[in-house]
Amino acid sequence: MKKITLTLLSITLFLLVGALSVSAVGESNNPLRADARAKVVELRENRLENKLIWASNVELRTQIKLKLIDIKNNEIILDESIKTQLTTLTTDLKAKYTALKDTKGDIQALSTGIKALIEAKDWATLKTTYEAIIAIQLTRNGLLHEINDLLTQINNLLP
Amino acid sequence: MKRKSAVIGCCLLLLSGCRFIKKDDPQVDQAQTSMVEDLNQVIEELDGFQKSQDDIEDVSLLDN
Repeated sequence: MKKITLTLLSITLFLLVGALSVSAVGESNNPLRADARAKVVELRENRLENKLIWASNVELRTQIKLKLIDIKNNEIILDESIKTQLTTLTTDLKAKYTALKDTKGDIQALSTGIKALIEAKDWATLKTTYEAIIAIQLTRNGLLHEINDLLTQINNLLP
Repeated sequence: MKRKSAVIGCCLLLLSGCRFIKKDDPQVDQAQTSMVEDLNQVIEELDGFQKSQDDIEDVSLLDN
């Protein structure tokens, strides 16, 4: 009796393990899941690029800040032509910053439902959500590149 | 007495002339001040945005 129970138990366990392995292999081979996974790679790359752009942005801002303090403290008078160029560049900078500010909270809003999508294995919607986040990342990185270009020009003009 | 008055008159004339010739020190104008303030403000705002920038959390990234 005991022998039969043990045999049945072993067979059940064997079947269970087998079924689980098949399910796991099947999931990793799912092309929709693989597509979503590929988007994660892009997301990580964009995130890294964003950090690098911000790093140079911080450096430029620090240099400009120090120059502005020097101009203020020593009452340095800027040439009219430099003043005109700086005013135009500052206006452009404000416009780019406003566009950047407009994206604030957009990634957060899209991220809220992601965990549920992963749990539900809704790979198609997950991929679409990742793509929407990537689009925001690219917009931000593009704007930050433009902002850094403007800051470089401003930094070069300031005495 | 006439000579003395003439000398004093000449001195006064020269002094007032010097006042016109003397150039005033250039001053920082309003346009420069407001431009510097504007620039400072955008720089501060960029700093604020960087610190509070929203991003996707690691737990929301599908791994393996």
